[in-house]
Order: sequence, then structure tokens, then C-alpha cells
Amino acid sequence: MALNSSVMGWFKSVAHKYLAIIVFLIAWQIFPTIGLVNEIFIPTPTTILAEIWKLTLDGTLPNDAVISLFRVGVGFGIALLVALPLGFLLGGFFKSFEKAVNPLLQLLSQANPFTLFPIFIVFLGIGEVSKISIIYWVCQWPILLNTITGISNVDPVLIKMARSSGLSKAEIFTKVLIPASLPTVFTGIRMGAAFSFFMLIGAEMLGSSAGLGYLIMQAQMVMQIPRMWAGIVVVALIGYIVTYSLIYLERRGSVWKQEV
Amino acid sequence: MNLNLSNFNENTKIIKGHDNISEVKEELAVNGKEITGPPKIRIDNVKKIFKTKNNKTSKIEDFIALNDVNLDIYKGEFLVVLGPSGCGKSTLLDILGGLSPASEGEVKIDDNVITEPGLDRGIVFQQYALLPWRNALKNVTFPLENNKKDAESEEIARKYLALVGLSSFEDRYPHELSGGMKQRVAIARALAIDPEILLMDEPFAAVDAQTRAILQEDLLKITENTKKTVIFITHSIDEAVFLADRVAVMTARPGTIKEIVNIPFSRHHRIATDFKNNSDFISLRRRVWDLLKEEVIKSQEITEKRIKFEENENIDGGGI
Ligand SMILES: Nc1ncnc2c1ncn2[C@@H]1O[C@H](COP(=O)(O)OP(=O)(O)O)[C@@H](O)[C@H]1O
Ligand SMILES: [Mg+2]
Repeated sequence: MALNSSVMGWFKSVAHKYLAIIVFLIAWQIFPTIGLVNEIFIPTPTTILAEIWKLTLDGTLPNDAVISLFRVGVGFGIALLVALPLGFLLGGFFKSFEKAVNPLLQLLSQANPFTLFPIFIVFLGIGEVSKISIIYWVCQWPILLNTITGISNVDPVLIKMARSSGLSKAEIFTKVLIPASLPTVFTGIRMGAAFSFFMLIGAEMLGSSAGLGYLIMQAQMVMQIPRMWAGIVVVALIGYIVTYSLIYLERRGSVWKQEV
Repeated sequence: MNLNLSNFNENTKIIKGHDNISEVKEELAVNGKEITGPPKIRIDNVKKIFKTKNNKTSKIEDFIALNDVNLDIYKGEFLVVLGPSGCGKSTLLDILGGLSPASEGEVKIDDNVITEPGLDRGIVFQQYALLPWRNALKNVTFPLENNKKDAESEEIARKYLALVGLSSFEDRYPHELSGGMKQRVAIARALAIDPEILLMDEPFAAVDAQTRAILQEDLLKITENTKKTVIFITHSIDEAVFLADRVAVMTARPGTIKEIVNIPFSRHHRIATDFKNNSDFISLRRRVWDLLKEEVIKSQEITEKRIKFEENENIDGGGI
């Protein structure tokens, strides 16, 4: 039957694509069950799912997730608002200034954010401001540096062509430089999003009384191992969803790009 | 190698001033071109100096790319500029396009000195310069969008895509087109603004030989029918002799016009007969090669010297 075979085909393609993940999950389920690893420290996926369900129903997970997403959203959002325009301006209009400050930017971007966090706390206190600031600080660099690189690497012949077509500087910026640099800029945005989750969890573990990082840390300290794993899995899932949403957006915005 | 260059040196005339206009008119009449009025484009003692930084000494040095270029181009003429690579051909075209200023001298179009790009000049670049995020149609409408409504731009773009034989490819993105097709789109885009002058910088250098021969014929037909004044740059002698009404041969860097060779055959003759295998073509080719040979050797020597002294770094900033 046609329907049946197409369903089978779909099933096969999905199975093929996620084969490694499926095998991994099955092994994870079996190993603790047969005692190959200690179930106390590595609970089975089903135990973790049950824990996630329980924590969702009693409001713990939604509550902490909202707090964490708020911090990431604000920090990442500010980074987008600051680093994108700054990168476009530095790369497009103030090239010689950009060349002068680039080594400094590289240096700052290399500073380990976990060592910087105490400084942020000294200046901004232990509250929301320091956590959002450190997230902003960390994820602005890939966005800024990639935007500058993207703009700088636009093929000069495209700019020549646009000038000879009678476009003004502002029009060249919006109609050539921005679209041409978009793939590189998007890579920076994706890296920024990934960095923001790293920093979020780090900041929440180091100094916080709510959020997913706090939930994981707290559970570990009182040896509520399934609870800890529930937090870890939820963080991983959110990161996965965010990354793939960004990739989806990127694909939609660049249908013209050659698939390799 | 024992090359006897002395004969060529005697015959060579470096063009210091402008040609005698009436002589040129007579020459072009043979090509079936009737010249009325003064030159359309007048290149007058153009010199171009780049400031470069020597990587070793960190000193800023003058790098003379063009020196004393004088050239007149007449309305409706197909003039090919032929020179060894690195002699300043693209630099000259940039100046004509208003994309970069001459350090000395000036270029006039109809008595107006060029200071900036303008829609009276359409440019075709060697690297196609297509926008990869726009399909063929939208690439051709690109220079029209400022002055015209979308529907009107698209109508014009369709017309020119048809002219270059790409009607059925308007939805294709550049990565879905072959090199020859990309260059056709670029030609359609340059023509779409209906410029009086077409500036072409080695447009067919990157396409394969068969495609190139077809593109050359099509270009001759199109420019003849649309009555454009064309300045076409190449380093291929065959291409120069086949396309040109006149070939301006350049010297090695610093580039200047060495001599202008008239090609006394009409475009129709060049297309309709098997011109490239004809003895006239072969003797013209021979003559042009005699002029060019010495410059190619010189330019190779210059390049070798430059490699020895390490590349100088371009200090012009990027951006817009
Ligand atoms: N912006 C620039 N700065 C410094 N040197 C340049 C610049 N543009 C071109 N040149 C140099 O000028 C010479 C002529 O270049 P070009 O006009 O591109 O040659 P062609 O097109 O004849 O091959 C080359 O030696 C090239 O390296
Ligand atoms: Mg060139």
C-alpha cells in the first residue's frame, strides 16, 4: 500500500538519521538496569523522564526554566542589540578604526569569563544584573567579531559593482554588505547563543538562588540525583531547541546558498 | 634565450599625444564605422600612483601603475585594450568607471570630466560580480531599482535577459548557472541601464574556450545592434583581434598605450566569415603579437623582481 510504504520510508529515514541517538538511549536504559553502571548515580532515561514530569507538575521546573530563559534572553538580546550594529558600523564604515581596535577586541574576547564573574559580582552585586551582564559579555564577542569579519570579507568587486550601479553608501550597506555578510553573522549569532547557555549555567551555579543551574547544583549537594539529572537533561534540550531554531531561521533566510 | 627585439623597438611608437582625428576617421571608415564629431571618450595624460607600504622597510612608496595614458574612443566604436597582466588595464577601467580617481590627467566623456560612477557607463567585471542571494532576474534589476518601479524594472530586466539568451533562466540563482551564463547575466545587467558606454574587464577570461567563442560572437552582435561604445579589456590576442575595431596595445608596467592597431574589417565580416582561420586574421594576430611580445617579457621580469623584493602591502583601507 502506498501510504504504508511511505510511512515505512519516513520511519526508515528517521531511524537512519537518529540511529546513533537511539542506540545511545537504549544502552543508557539497559546498562543501569542490568547493573553495569550504578543506578544511583546514573538513573535510566525513564526515571529521569518521570522526574522531569513530576517536577513539571509541581511547578519547580517551569519556574526555574522561566527564570533561566529570562536571564539568557535579556543577556543575549542586549548582545544582539549592541554587537550587531557595532560590528556592522566598525566593519563597514570605520575600517581603519576597526583595524586599530581589533587586537584589543581579540584580547578581551579571550578573557576567561568564569574568572571575570567575580569582578562582575564585585561591581554589580550578586543579583540579576551581574548574571545578565556576564551573559551579555560572553555572547557579544562571537557576534561582534563575526559581524566584523563578515562585512570585511565581502567581495570588493560587489561593492564596485554597486557603486557603478549608482547606489549611495547607505544603499550599498543595506543592499550589499548586510546580505553578503549574513552567513558569517549568523554563525556568530549561533555561537553567541551557545555561549550564553554555558555562561548562564555557570553563573547560576556560582551565585544564584533560582534557575536551572541552581536547581542542578542544589540537587547535587543534597544528593537528589534524579532531580539533578532532570535539570541537566532539560538544559540540554533547551540548548538543542535554540540551536536548531537558529539553524532553521538561517536556512530560511538563505535559500540561495548552495547546499554542500 | 636569444630574442632579437631591436626591430620592434624601432617600429614602436609610444603614444605621447592624441592621434590625428582625421586619420582615425579614415581608418574606422574601413571598418564600416562612420565617425561624426569629436571623440566620445578622451583619456588625457592619465597617471595612476598607488601608495604602498614596503613590508621590509615600512616606508610608504609610490607605485606607478599607469603613466601618460592618452587615448581617444569614438562613439559606437569597439575598442580593445590589450596588455600583459599587471600592466594597469583594470586600473584604467576603474578610472573610466569613476571608481577610482586618476592621480594626474583626466578622462572626459563628451567634454565632462569623470569624477564619479554614472549610469552612462555599464561595467562588466571578470569575476561576474553577481549577488548570490538574488536570482538572475533580480540581479539584472539591481541597478534599476532606485529609479524605477518594480514591475517596470522587471520588464526591462526580462528584455535584456532575452537579449543575452537567458529568458528561461530568470529564476535561477548564480550558483545554479554556468560561468558563461553568469557572465551573460552580468552583461544583461550592464545593458539594462541602457548606458552609452560599456566597460568590460576581461569578461570572458574565466569561461571555457568554446563558450568564450560563442560569447564573443554574441557580444559583437549585441553591441552592434544596441550601438554601444565599448571599451573591452583582455590579455588574449585572439580575442582582441576578433572583437576590436581598433586594438590599443599597452606596455608593461607602468602601463601606457604603445600603439593602436586598426582592424580593417567590419563586424559583420568578422562574424559571418570564418575570420579566425582567415589569413588576414593571422597576419593581424602576428602584428599584434610582435608589439606585445616584448611587453610580456618585460612584465614577467617585473613580476620576478617583485617576488624577490616581497609583495608590497596595499595600504588603502577596505570598507565603503
Ligand atoms: N589598490 C591598489 N594598491 C596598490 N597596488 C595596486 C592596486 N590596484 C592595483 N595595483 C597594482 O597595479 C598594477 C596594475 O594592476 P591592474 O590594473 O589590476 O593590472 P591588470 O588589470 O592589467 O592585470 C599591478 O601591479 C597591481 O598589483
Ligand atoms: Mg585586470
